[in-house]
Amino acid sequence: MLKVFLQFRHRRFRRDLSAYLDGVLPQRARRRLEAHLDSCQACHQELTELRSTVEALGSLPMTEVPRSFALAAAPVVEVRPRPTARRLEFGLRLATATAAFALTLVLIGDFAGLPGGGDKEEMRGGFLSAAQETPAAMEAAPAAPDIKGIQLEEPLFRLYGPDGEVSPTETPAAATEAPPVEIPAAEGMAAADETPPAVVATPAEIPGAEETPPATEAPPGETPAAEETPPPIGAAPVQTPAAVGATPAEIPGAEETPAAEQTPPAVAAAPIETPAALAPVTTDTHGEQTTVGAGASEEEDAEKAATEGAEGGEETEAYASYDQAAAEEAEGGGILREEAVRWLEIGLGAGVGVLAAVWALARLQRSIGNRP
Amino acid sequence: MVIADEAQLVHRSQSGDLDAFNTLVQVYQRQAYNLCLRMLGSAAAEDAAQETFITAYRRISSFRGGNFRAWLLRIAANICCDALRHRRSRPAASLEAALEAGSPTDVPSPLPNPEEETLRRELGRHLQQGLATLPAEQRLAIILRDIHGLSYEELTEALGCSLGTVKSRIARGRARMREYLMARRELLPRQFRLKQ
Repeated sequence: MLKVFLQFRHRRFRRDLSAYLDGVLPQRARRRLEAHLDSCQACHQELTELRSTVEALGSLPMTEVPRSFALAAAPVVEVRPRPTARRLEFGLRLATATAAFALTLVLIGDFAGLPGGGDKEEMRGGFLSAAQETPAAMEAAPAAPDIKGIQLEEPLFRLYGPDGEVSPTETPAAATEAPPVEIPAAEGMAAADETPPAVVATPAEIPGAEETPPATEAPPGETPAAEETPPPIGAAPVQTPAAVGATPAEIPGAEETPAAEQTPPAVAAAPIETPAALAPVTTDTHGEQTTVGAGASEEEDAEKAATEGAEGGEETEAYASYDQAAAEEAEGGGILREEAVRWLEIGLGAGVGVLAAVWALARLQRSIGNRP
Repeated sequence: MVIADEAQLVHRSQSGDLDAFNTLVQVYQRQAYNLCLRMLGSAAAEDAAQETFITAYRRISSFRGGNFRAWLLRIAANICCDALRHRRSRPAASLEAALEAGSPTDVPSPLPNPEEETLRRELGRHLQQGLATLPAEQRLAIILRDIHGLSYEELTEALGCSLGTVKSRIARGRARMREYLMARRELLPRQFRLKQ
Protein backbone atom coordinates (compact mmCIF):
# COMPACT_ATOMS: atom_id res chain seq x y z
CA MET A 1 0.00 0.00 0.00
CA LEU A 2 2.76 2.33 1.01
CA LYS A 3 4.64 1.29 -2.07
CA VAL A 4 1.72 2.19 -4.31
CA PHE A 5 1.35 5.53 -2.59
CA LEU A 6 5.03 6.27 -2.99
CA GLN A 7 4.89 5.28 -6.62
CA PHE A 8 1.93 7.59 -7.14
CA ARG A 9 3.78 10.46 -5.48
CA HIS A 10 6.86 9.71 -7.49
CA ARG A 11 4.87 9.84 -10.73
CA ARG A 12 3.38 13.16 -9.74
CA PHE A 13 6.82 14.58 -9.04
CA ARG A 14 8.05 13.39 -12.40
CA ARG A 15 5.15 15.16 -14.06
CA ASP A 16 6.13 18.40 -12.32
CA LEU A 17 9.74 18.30 -13.51
CA SER A 18 9.01 20.14 -16.77
CA ALA A 19 7.19 23.00 -15.06
CA TYR A 20 9.95 23.11 -12.46
CA LEU A 21 12.55 23.56 -15.20
CA ASP A 22 10.60 26.51 -16.58
CA GLY A 23 10.09 28.00 -13.15
CA VAL A 24 6.31 27.93 -13.44
CA LEU A 25 5.67 25.48 -10.63
CA PRO A 26 3.80 27.02 -7.68
CA GLN A 27 6.00 27.68 -4.70
CA ARG A 28 4.61 24.96 -2.45
CA ALA A 29 4.84 22.32 -5.14
CA ARG A 30 8.34 23.50 -5.96
CA ARG A 31 9.51 23.13 -2.37
CA ARG A 32 7.99 19.68 -2.15
CA LEU A 33 9.64 18.66 -5.40
CA GLU A 34 13.01 19.98 -4.31
CA ALA A 35 12.77 18.00 -1.08
CA HIS A 36 11.91 14.92 -3.10
CA LEU A 37 14.77 15.52 -5.54
CA ASP A 38 17.22 15.49 -2.64
CA SER A 39 16.14 12.01 -1.69
CA CYS A 40 15.22 10.46 -5.05
CA GLN A 41 18.10 9.69 -7.32
CA ALA A 42 15.90 8.57 -10.21
CA CYS A 43 14.01 11.84 -10.30
CA HIS A 44 17.23 13.77 -10.03
CA GLN A 45 18.63 11.87 -12.99
CA GLU A 46 15.48 12.45 -14.98
CA LEU A 47 15.60 16.16 -14.25
CA THR A 48 19.16 16.31 -15.55
CA GLU A 49 18.21 14.49 -18.72
CA LEU A 50 15.17 16.65 -19.20
CA ARG A 51 17.27 19.77 -18.80
CA SER A 52 19.71 18.46 -21.42
CA THR A 53 16.81 17.78 -23.77
CA VAL A 54 15.46 21.29 -23.35
CA GLU A 55 18.91 22.78 -23.87
CA ALA A 56 19.42 20.69 -26.98
CA LEU A 57 16.07 21.83 -28.38
CA GLY A 58 16.97 25.41 -27.54
CA SER A 59 20.21 25.03 -29.47
CA LEU A 60 18.37 24.35 -32.72
CA PRO A 61 18.94 27.29 -34.99
CA MET A 62 16.28 29.55 -36.44
CA THR A 63 16.60 29.27 -40.18
CA GLU A 64 16.65 32.31 -42.39
CA VAL A 65 13.68 32.73 -44.67
CA PRO A 66 14.28 31.62 -48.26
CA ARG A 67 12.45 34.71 -49.54
CA SER A 68 10.38 37.58 -48.34
CA PHE A 69 6.78 36.77 -47.55
CA ALA A 70 5.65 40.37 -47.91
CA LEU A 71 2.44 40.68 -49.87
CA ALA A 72 2.79 42.24 -53.30
CA ALA A 73 -0.87 43.16 -53.46
CA ALA A 74 -3.65 43.12 -50.96
CA PRO A 75 -5.38 39.76 -51.10
CA VAL A 76 -9.07 39.87 -51.79
CA VAL A 77 -10.94 39.78 -48.57
CA GLU A 78 -13.68 37.26 -48.98
CA VAL A 79 -17.19 38.17 -48.10
CA ARG A 80 -18.66 35.29 -46.20
CA PRO A 81 -22.24 34.62 -45.25
CA ARG A 82 -20.82 33.33 -42.01
CA PRO A 83 -22.33 35.88 -39.60
CA THR A 84 -25.84 35.11 -40.88
CA ALA A 85 -25.18 31.41 -40.73
CA ARG A 86 -23.84 31.80 -37.23
CA ARG A 87 -26.90 33.72 -36.19
CA LEU A 88 -29.13 31.05 -37.69
CA GLU A 89 -27.14 28.40 -35.94
CA PHE A 90 -27.42 30.25 -32.68
CA GLY A 91 -31.17 30.57 -33.17
CA LEU A 92 -31.53 26.88 -33.84
CA ARG A 93 -29.47 25.98 -30.83
CA LEU A 94 -31.48 28.32 -28.68
CA ALA A 95 -34.69 26.76 -29.97
CA THR A 96 -33.30 23.34 -29.21
CA ALA A 97 -32.31 24.36 -25.73
CA THR A 98 -35.73 25.87 -25.07
CA ALA A 99 -37.49 22.79 -26.37
CA ALA A 100 -35.27 20.55 -24.26
CA PHE A 101 -36.10 22.64 -21.24
CA ALA A 102 -39.81 22.44 -21.97
CA LEU A 103 -39.53 18.70 -22.44
CA THR A 104 -37.73 18.34 -19.13
CA LEU A 105 -40.41 20.35 -17.38
CA VAL A 106 -43.17 18.25 -18.87
CA LEU A 107 -41.37 15.04 -17.97
CA ILE A 108 -40.85 16.20 -14.43
CA GLY A 109 -44.51 17.17 -14.28
CA ASP A 110 -45.51 13.75 -15.51
CA PHE A 111 -43.33 11.83 -13.13
CA ALA A 112 -44.19 14.00 -10.17
CA GLY A 113 -47.86 13.32 -10.87
CA LEU A 114 -48.85 16.93 -11.18
CA PRO A 115 -52.51 17.56 -11.99
CA GLY A 116 -53.50 17.31 -15.57
CA GLY A 117 -55.60 14.16 -15.78
CA GLY A 118 -54.67 10.97 -17.59
CA ASP A 119 -50.98 11.50 -16.98
CA LYS A 120 -49.89 8.04 -17.88
CA GLU A 121 -51.92 7.88 -20.97
CA GLU A 122 -50.56 11.19 -22.11
CA MET A 123 -47.06 10.16 -21.44
CA ARG A 124 -47.46 7.03 -23.44
CA GLY A 125 -49.14 8.93 -26.22
CA GLY A 126 -46.39 11.47 -26.29
CA PHE A 127 -43.63 8.96 -26.33
CA LEU A 128 -45.11 6.75 -28.93
CA SER A 129 -46.50 9.06 -31.50
CA ALA A 130 -48.17 12.31 -30.87
CA ALA A 131 -49.63 12.33 -34.33
CA GLN A 132 -51.85 9.37 -33.80
CA GLU A 133 -52.70 9.60 -30.17
CA THR A 134 -53.31 13.26 -29.87
CA PRO A 135 -56.26 13.51 -32.20
CA ALA A 136 -57.65 10.33 -30.77
CA ALA A 137 -57.61 11.55 -27.24
CA MET A 138 -58.80 14.98 -28.13
CA GLU A 139 -61.66 13.80 -30.17
CA ALA A 140 -62.84 11.09 -27.90
CA ALA A 141 -62.58 12.90 -24.62
CA PRO A 142 -66.25 13.88 -24.54
CA ALA A 143 -67.28 10.43 -25.61
CA ALA A 144 -65.31 8.76 -22.88
CA PRO A 145 -68.12 8.02 -20.46
CA ASP A 146 -70.11 6.24 -23.13
CA ILE A 147 -67.57 3.70 -24.12
CA LYS A 148 -66.08 3.19 -20.72
CA GLY A 149 -64.83 -0.24 -19.84
CA ILE A 150 -64.63 -1.98 -23.13
CA GLN A 151 -62.48 -5.03 -23.50
CA LEU A 152 -59.53 -2.88 -24.51
CA GLU A 153 -58.10 -2.76 -21.04
CA GLU A 154 -56.32 -6.01 -21.29
CA PRO A 155 -54.31 -5.52 -24.44
CA LEU A 156 -53.40 -2.10 -23.17
CA PHE A 157 -52.04 -3.59 -20.02
CA ARG A 158 -50.21 -6.17 -21.94
CA LEU A 159 -48.55 -3.53 -23.99
CA TYR A 160 -48.00 -0.75 -21.52
CA GLY A 161 -48.69 -2.39 -18.26
CA PRO A 162 -45.37 -2.50 -16.37
CA ASP A 163 -46.66 -0.01 -13.86
CA GLY A 164 -49.81 -1.28 -12.32
CA GLU A 165 -51.09 2.02 -11.07
CA VAL A 166 -51.98 2.98 -14.55
CA SER A 167 -55.25 1.10 -14.57
CA PRO A 168 -57.77 3.39 -12.88
CA THR A 169 -56.85 6.52 -14.72
CA GLU A 170 -56.01 4.91 -17.95
CA THR A 171 -59.04 2.83 -18.64
CA PRO A 172 -61.36 5.58 -19.77
CA ALA A 173 -58.69 7.29 -21.68
CA ALA A 174 -57.64 4.11 -23.35
CA ALA A 175 -61.17 3.33 -24.21
CA THR A 176 -61.62 6.70 -25.70
CA GLU A 177 -58.57 6.38 -27.76
CA ALA A 178 -59.68 3.38 -29.60
CA PRO A 179 -62.87 4.54 -31.28
CA PRO A 180 -61.40 7.25 -33.47
CA VAL A 181 -59.14 4.74 -35.02
CA GLU A 182 -61.97 2.35 -35.32
CA ILE A 183 -64.44 4.78 -36.76
CA PRO A 184 -62.40 5.51 -39.82
CA ALA A 185 -62.08 1.80 -40.16
CA ALA A 186 -65.82 1.43 -40.32
CA GLU A 187 -66.34 4.39 -42.57
CA GLY A 188 -63.44 3.75 -44.78
CA MET A 189 -64.61 0.25 -45.57
CA ALA A 190 -62.33 -2.37 -44.08
CA ALA A 191 -59.67 0.09 -43.13
CA ALA A 192 -59.39 -1.83 -39.89
CA ASP A 193 -58.12 -4.71 -41.87
CA GLU A 194 -55.60 -2.55 -43.43
CA THR A 195 -54.18 -1.34 -40.15
CA PRO A 196 -52.83 -4.58 -38.74
CA PRO A 197 -49.77 -4.82 -40.98
CA ALA A 198 -48.84 -1.40 -39.76
CA VAL A 199 -49.58 -2.35 -36.17
CA VAL A 200 -46.68 -4.70 -36.07
CA ALA A 201 -44.30 -1.91 -36.55
CA THR A 202 -46.22 1.12 -35.42
CA PRO A 203 -46.67 2.13 -31.85
CA ALA A 204 -49.20 4.72 -32.83
CA GLU A 205 -51.55 2.26 -34.35
CA ILE A 206 -51.71 0.05 -31.32
CA PRO A 207 -54.98 1.41 -29.97
CA GLY A 208 -56.57 0.52 -33.24
CA ALA A 209 -55.16 -2.92 -33.02
CA GLU A 210 -56.28 -3.46 -29.50
CA GLU A 211 -59.90 -3.67 -30.38
CA THR A 212 -59.10 -6.57 -32.64
CA PRO A 213 -56.46 -8.41 -30.65
CA PRO A 214 -55.87 -11.20 -33.18
CA ALA A 215 -54.98 -8.57 -35.72
CA THR A 216 -51.88 -7.59 -33.83
CA GLU A 217 -50.60 -11.06 -33.54
CA ALA A 218 -51.50 -12.36 -36.93
CA PRO A 219 -51.26 -9.74 -39.61
CA PRO A 220 -50.90 -12.28 -42.39
CA GLY A 221 -54.37 -13.52 -41.68
CA GLU A 222 -55.67 -10.06 -42.23
CA THR A 223 -53.76 -9.23 -45.31
CA PRO A 224 -56.19 -10.81 -47.74
CA ALA A 225 -58.71 -8.33 -46.46
CA ALA A 226 -56.36 -5.57 -47.28
CA GLU A 227 -55.93 -6.94 -50.73
CA GLU A 228 -59.64 -7.01 -51.25
CA THR A 229 -60.07 -3.44 -50.23
CA PRO A 230 -61.19 -0.86 -52.76
CA PRO A 231 -58.58 1.35 -54.45
CA PRO A 232 -58.33 4.17 -51.89
CA ILE A 233 -57.77 1.68 -49.11
CA GLY A 234 -55.66 -0.55 -51.20
CA ALA A 235 -53.32 2.35 -51.68
CA ALA A 236 -52.90 2.92 -47.97
CA PRO A 237 -51.17 -0.34 -47.04
CA VAL A 238 -48.61 0.36 -49.69
CA GLN A 239 -47.62 3.44 -47.83
CA THR A 240 -47.89 2.13 -44.32
CA PRO A 241 -45.16 -0.46 -44.14
CA ALA A 242 -42.67 1.95 -45.55
CA ALA A 243 -43.28 4.95 -43.44
CA VAL A 244 -45.19 3.37 -40.70
CA GLY A 245 -45.63 5.06 -37.39
CA ALA A 246 -45.04 8.66 -37.95
CA THR A 247 -45.65 9.45 -41.54
CA PRO A 248 -48.31 11.91 -42.44
CA ALA A 249 -49.20 9.36 -45.08
CA GLU A 250 -51.43 7.78 -42.48
CA ILE A 251 -53.12 10.97 -41.67
CA PRO A 252 -54.29 11.29 -45.26
CA GLY A 253 -55.79 7.90 -44.58
CA ALA A 254 -57.80 9.68 -41.97
CA GLU A 255 -59.07 12.13 -44.50
CA GLU A 256 -61.91 9.78 -45.08
CA THR A 257 -62.79 10.18 -41.46
CA PRO A 258 -64.14 13.16 -39.61
CA ALA A 259 -61.07 13.05 -37.38
CA ALA A 260 -58.93 14.73 -40.00
CA GLU A 261 -59.73 18.24 -38.94
CA GLN A 262 -58.62 17.55 -35.40
CA THR A 263 -55.13 16.68 -36.44
CA PRO A 264 -53.12 19.86 -36.55
CA PRO A 265 -50.64 19.65 -39.42
CA ALA A 266 -47.76 20.39 -37.13
CA VAL A 267 -48.69 17.54 -34.86
CA ALA A 268 -48.99 15.25 -37.78
CA ALA A 269 -45.66 16.17 -39.19
CA ALA A 270 -43.68 16.37 -36.03
CA PRO A 271 -43.05 12.76 -35.07
CA ILE A 272 -41.48 11.93 -38.39
CA GLU A 273 -38.09 12.79 -37.11
CA THR A 274 -37.58 10.53 -34.17
CA PRO A 275 -40.27 8.08 -33.18
CA ALA A 276 -40.18 6.59 -36.63
CA ALA A 277 -36.57 5.75 -36.10
CA LEU A 278 -36.62 4.92 -32.43
CA ALA A 279 -39.92 3.49 -31.37
CA PRO A 280 -41.40 1.31 -34.10
CA VAL A 281 -38.82 -1.38 -34.17
CA THR A 282 -39.26 -2.42 -30.61
CA THR A 283 -42.70 -1.38 -29.49
CA ASP A 284 -44.57 -4.53 -30.24
CA THR A 285 -42.67 -6.36 -27.56
CA HIS A 286 -41.31 -3.87 -25.08
CA GLY A 287 -44.03 -1.35 -24.71
CA GLU A 288 -43.51 1.55 -22.45
CA GLN A 289 -40.06 0.84 -21.15
CA THR A 290 -38.55 0.95 -24.56
CA THR A 291 -40.27 4.09 -25.55
CA VAL A 292 -39.47 5.81 -22.30
CA GLY A 293 -35.87 4.96 -22.97
CA ALA A 294 -36.14 6.45 -26.39
CA GLY A 295 -37.70 9.56 -24.98
CA ALA A 296 -34.94 9.92 -22.45
CA SER A 297 -32.30 9.61 -25.09
CA GLU A 298 -34.04 12.25 -27.15
CA GLU A 299 -33.98 14.51 -24.22
CA GLU A 300 -30.33 13.82 -23.62
CA ASP A 301 -29.62 14.55 -27.22
CA ALA A 302 -31.44 17.79 -27.01
CA GLU A 303 -29.71 18.80 -23.84
CA LYS A 304 -26.38 17.80 -25.22
CA ALA A 305 -27.05 19.87 -28.25
CA ALA A 306 -27.99 22.71 -25.97
CA THR A 307 -24.83 22.50 -23.92
CA GLU A 308 -22.79 22.14 -27.04
CA GLY A 309 -24.52 25.23 -28.21
CA ALA A 310 -23.04 27.16 -25.35
CA GLU A 311 -19.60 25.71 -25.79
CA GLY A 312 -19.80 25.81 -29.53
CA GLY A 313 -20.74 29.46 -29.41
CA GLU A 314 -17.66 30.33 -27.45
CA GLU A 315 -15.53 28.15 -29.58
CA THR A 316 -16.83 29.72 -32.73
CA GLU A 317 -16.12 33.15 -31.36
CA ALA A 318 -12.66 32.20 -30.26
CA TYR A 319 -11.62 30.26 -33.29
CA ALA A 320 -13.64 31.77 -36.06
CA SER A 321 -11.37 34.73 -36.28
CA TYR A 322 -8.66 32.80 -37.97
CA ASP A 323 -8.93 29.12 -37.36
CA GLN A 324 -11.81 28.37 -39.66
CA ALA A 325 -10.82 30.97 -42.16
CA ALA A 326 -7.36 29.54 -42.32
CA ALA A 327 -8.74 26.07 -42.61
CA GLU A 328 -11.10 26.92 -45.40
CA GLU A 329 -8.58 28.84 -47.32
CA ALA A 330 -6.08 26.08 -46.98
CA GLU A 331 -8.78 23.68 -48.13
CA GLY A 332 -8.56 21.74 -44.90
CA GLY A 333 -10.73 18.71 -45.44
CA GLY A 334 -10.96 18.05 -41.72
CA ILE A 335 -12.62 21.34 -40.98
CA LEU A 336 -15.09 20.87 -43.83
CA ARG A 337 -16.03 17.52 -42.38
CA GLU A 338 -16.43 19.08 -38.96
CA GLU A 339 -18.70 21.71 -40.50
CA ALA A 340 -20.83 19.02 -42.07
CA VAL A 341 -21.04 17.12 -38.82
CA ARG A 342 -21.96 20.26 -36.97
CA TRP A 343 -24.75 21.08 -39.37
CA LEU A 344 -26.00 17.54 -39.12
CA GLU A 345 -26.00 17.90 -35.39
CA ILE A 346 -27.89 21.17 -35.65
CA GLY A 347 -30.44 19.54 -37.92
CA LEU A 348 -30.95 16.68 -35.52
CA GLY A 349 -31.12 19.04 -32.61
CA ALA A 350 -33.70 21.18 -34.36
CA GLY A 351 -35.73 18.10 -35.24
CA VAL A 352 -35.77 16.89 -31.67
CA GLY A 353 -36.53 20.40 -30.53
CA VAL A 354 -39.53 20.77 -32.82
CA LEU A 355 -40.78 17.36 -31.79
CA ALA A 356 -40.45 18.17 -28.12
CA ALA A 357 -42.13 21.53 -28.53
CA VAL A 358 -45.04 20.05 -30.44
CA TRP A 359 -45.41 17.29 -27.94
CA ALA A 360 -45.33 19.72 -25.04
CA LEU A 361 -47.95 21.84 -26.78
CA ALA A 362 -50.13 18.86 -27.45
CA ARG A 363 -49.86 17.76 -23.86
CA LEU A 364 -50.72 21.18 -22.58
CA GLN A 365 -53.71 21.31 -24.88
CA ARG A 366 -54.84 17.91 -23.71
CA SER A 367 -54.40 18.67 -20.05
CA ILE A 368 -56.50 21.78 -20.53
CA GLY A 369 -59.11 19.72 -22.35
CA ASN A 370 -59.17 17.06 -19.65
CA ARG A 371 -59.46 19.47 -16.83
CA PRO A 372 -62.92 19.33 -15.35
CA MET B 1 10.86 40.78 -30.74
CA VAL B 2 8.23 43.37 -30.08
CA ILE B 3 8.59 46.50 -32.08
CA ALA B 4 7.72 49.80 -30.48
CA ASP B 5 5.04 50.85 -32.89
CA GLU B 6 3.58 47.41 -33.43
CA ALA B 7 0.17 48.47 -32.22
CA GLN B 8 0.20 51.35 -34.64
CA LEU B 9 1.26 49.13 -37.50
CA VAL B 10 -1.51 46.72 -36.66
CA HIS B 11 -3.99 49.55 -36.54
CA ARG B 12 -2.86 50.84 -39.91
CA SER B 13 -3.01 47.35 -41.35
CA GLN B 14 -6.55 47.05 -40.11
CA SER B 15 -7.44 50.11 -42.12
CA GLY B 16 -6.00 48.45 -45.21
CA ASP B 17 -2.45 49.83 -45.22
CA LEU B 18 -0.51 47.10 -46.99
CA ASP B 19 2.87 48.71 -46.34
CA ALA B 20 2.25 48.71 -42.62
CA PHE B 21 1.28 45.07 -42.79
CA ASN B 22 4.38 44.22 -44.80
CA THR B 23 6.49 45.81 -42.09
CA LEU B 24 4.92 43.36 -39.66
CA VAL B 25 5.61 40.56 -42.13
CA GLN B 26 9.28 41.50 -42.20
CA VAL B 27 9.44 41.34 -38.43
CA TYR B 28 7.67 38.00 -37.96
CA GLN B 29 8.28 36.07 -41.15
CA ARG B 30 11.29 34.25 -39.77
CA GLN B 31 9.37 32.91 -36.81
CA ALA B 32 6.38 31.95 -38.89
CA TYR B 33 8.56 30.25 -41.47
CA ASN B 34 10.56 28.35 -38.86
CA LEU B 35 7.44 27.10 -37.17
CA CYS B 36 6.15 25.82 -40.51
CA LEU B 37 9.55 24.34 -41.26
CA ARG B 38 9.68 22.37 -38.00
CA MET B 39 6.10 21.24 -38.36
CA LEU B 40 5.95 20.41 -42.06
CA GLY B 41 9.46 20.23 -43.47
CA SER B 42 10.98 22.53 -46.04
CA ALA B 43 8.91 21.31 -48.97
CA ALA B 44 5.67 22.66 -47.54
CA ALA B 45 7.01 25.32 -45.18
CA GLU B 46 7.25 28.09 -47.72
CA ASP B 47 3.70 27.74 -48.93
CA ALA B 48 2.42 27.45 -45.38
CA ALA B 49 4.27 30.58 -44.30
CA GLN B 50 2.92 32.54 -47.25
CA GLU B 51 -0.55 31.25 -46.50
CA THR B 52 -0.12 32.42 -42.92
CA PHE B 53 0.47 36.02 -43.96
CA ILE B 54 -2.31 36.04 -46.54
CA THR B 55 -4.71 34.72 -43.93
CA ALA B 56 -3.41 37.15 -41.35
CA TYR B 57 -4.02 40.07 -43.69
CA ARG B 58 -7.53 38.91 -44.42
CA ARG B 59 -8.34 38.37 -40.79
CA ILE B 60 -6.49 41.27 -39.26
CA SER B 61 -9.70 43.14 -38.62
CA SER B 62 -10.61 40.43 -36.13
CA PHE B 63 -7.43 41.01 -34.13
CA ARG B 64 -8.58 42.66 -30.93
CA GLY B 65 -5.26 43.61 -29.44
CA GLY B 66 -3.07 41.46 -27.23
CA ASN B 67 0.01 39.67 -28.41
CA PHE B 68 0.35 39.96 -32.18
CA ARG B 69 3.11 37.38 -32.38
CA ALA B 70 0.99 34.80 -30.57
CA TRP B 71 -1.97 35.63 -32.83
CA LEU B 72 0.14 35.24 -35.94
CA LEU B 73 1.78 32.04 -34.77
CA ARG B 74 -1.62 30.64 -33.99
CA ILE B 75 -2.64 31.18 -37.60
CA ALA B 76 0.56 29.46 -38.70
CA ALA B 77 -0.06 26.63 -36.25
CA ASN B 78 -3.58 26.10 -37.55
CA ILE B 79 -2.39 26.06 -41.12
CA CYS B 80 0.28 23.53 -40.20
CA CYS B 81 -2.23 21.32 -38.39
CA ASP B 82 -4.56 21.43 -41.38
CA ALA B 83 -1.71 20.54 -43.68
CA LEU B 84 -0.75 17.61 -41.45
CA ARG B 85 -4.34 16.42 -41.36
CA HIS B 86 -4.52 16.72 -45.11
CA ARG B 87 -1.27 14.80 -45.41
CA ARG B 88 -2.49 12.07 -43.08
CA SER B 89 -5.48 11.53 -45.30
CA ARG B 90 -3.01 10.82 -48.11
CA PRO B 91 -0.71 8.15 -46.71
CA ALA B 92 1.60 8.32 -49.72
CA ALA B 93 3.25 11.37 -48.23
CA SER B 94 5.18 10.31 -45.18
CA LEU B 95 5.64 12.92 -42.52
CA GLU B 96 8.98 11.61 -41.38
CA ALA B 97 10.29 11.56 -44.91
CA ALA B 98 9.10 15.08 -45.49
CA LEU B 99 10.65 16.27 -42.26
CA GLU B 100 13.95 14.59 -42.93
CA ALA B 101 14.09 15.86 -46.46
CA GLY B 102 13.50 19.35 -45.25
CA SER B 103 15.58 19.17 -42.14
CA PRO B 104 16.48 22.70 -41.12
CA THR B 105 19.91 21.48 -40.03
CA ASP B 106 20.96 21.54 -43.68
CA VAL B 107 21.14 25.28 -43.42
CA PRO B 108 24.66 26.68 -43.23
CA SER B 109 25.71 27.53 -39.71
CA PRO B 110 27.58 30.56 -38.51
CA LEU B 111 29.83 28.35 -36.35
CA PRO B 112 33.41 28.42 -37.64
CA ASN B 113 34.50 25.09 -36.16
CA PRO B 114 33.76 22.22 -38.60
CA GLU B 115 33.68 19.62 -35.83
CA GLU B 116 31.14 21.59 -33.85
CA GLU B 117 29.22 22.09 -37.00
CA THR B 118 29.07 18.33 -37.59
CA LEU B 119 27.99 17.67 -34.01
CA ARG B 120 25.33 20.30 -34.21
CA ARG B 121 23.98 18.85 -37.43
CA GLU B 122 23.94 15.39 -35.93
CA LEU B 123 22.08 16.56 -32.86
CA GLY B 124 19.71 18.61 -34.98
CA ARG B 125 18.90 15.62 -37.11
CA HIS B 126 18.09 13.47 -34.08
CA LEU B 127 16.02 16.20 -32.53
CA GLN B 128 14.09 16.69 -35.72
CA GLN B 129 13.42 12.98 -35.97
CA GLY B 130 12.36 12.93 -32.34
CA LEU B 131 10.01 15.84 -32.90
CA ALA B 132 8.47 14.00 -35.83
CA THR B 133 7.44 11.18 -33.51
CA LEU B 134 5.41 13.48 -31.27
CA PRO B 135 1.70 14.10 -31.71
CA ALA B 136 1.11 17.39 -33.54
CA GLU B 137 -0.13 19.34 -30.52
CA GLN B 138 2.82 18.29 -28.35
CA ARG B 139 5.26 19.04 -31.15
CA LEU B 140 3.70 22.46 -31.60
CA ALA B 141 3.97 23.21 -27.88
CA ILE B 142 7.59 22.05 -27.70
CA ILE B 143 8.64 24.01 -30.80
CA LEU B 144 6.97 27.20 -29.63
CA ARG B 145 8.29 26.88 -26.09
CA ASP B 146 11.79 25.47 -26.45
CA ILE B 147 12.81 26.67 -29.90
CA HIS B 148 10.85 29.91 -30.28
CA GLY B 149 10.99 30.72 -26.59
CA LEU B 150 7.37 31.77 -26.14
CA SER B 151 6.23 32.37 -22.59
CA TYR B 152 3.46 30.23 -21.13
CA GLU B 153 1.03 33.14 -21.45
CA GLU B 154 1.87 33.52 -25.12
CA LEU B 155 1.50 29.79 -25.54
CA THR B 156 -2.03 29.85 -24.21
CA GLU B 157 -2.86 32.38 -26.92
CA ALA B 158 -0.92 30.69 -29.68
CA LEU B 159 -2.29 27.23 -28.91
CA GLY B 160 -5.72 28.43 -27.93
CA CYS B 161 -5.91 26.36 -24.77
CA SER B 162 -5.62 26.74 -21.03
CA LEU B 163 -2.42 27.09 -19.05
CA GLY B 164 -2.90 23.64 -17.59
CA THR B 165 -3.19 22.12 -21.05
CA VAL B 166 -0.12 23.98 -22.21
CA LYS B 167 1.89 22.72 -19.23
CA SER B 168 0.68 19.20 -19.78
CA ARG B 169 1.50 19.19 -23.50
CA ILE B 170 4.97 20.56 -22.86
CA ALA B 171 5.63 18.07 -20.06
CA ARG B 172 4.50 15.12 -22.15
CA GLY B 173 6.32 16.29 -25.22
CA ARG B 174 9.54 16.81 -23.34
CA ALA B 175 9.27 13.47 -21.59
CA ARG B 176 8.86 11.73 -24.93
CA MET B 177 11.72 13.66 -26.44
CA ARG B 178 13.90 12.70 -23.49
CA GLU B 179 13.01 9.05 -23.94
CA TYR B 180 13.69 9.27 -27.65
CA LEU B 181 17.11 10.83 -27.17
CA MET B 182 18.06 8.57 -24.27
CA ALA B 183 17.27 5.50 -26.34
CA ARG B 184 19.85 6.76 -28.84
CA ARG B 185 22.32 8.24 -26.46
CA GLU B 186 25.28 6.44 -27.99
CA LEU B 187 24.49 8.08 -31.31
CA LEU B 188 24.30 11.54 -29.86
CA PRO B 189 27.10 14.05 -29.91
CA ARG B 190 29.41 14.19 -26.94
CA GLN B 191 28.07 17.50 -25.70
CA PHE B 192 24.74 15.86 -25.07
CA ARG B 193 26.13 12.75 -23.46
CA LEU B 194 28.27 14.69 -21.03
CA LYS B 195 25.24 16.17 -19.33
CA GLN B 196 23.75 12.89 -18.20
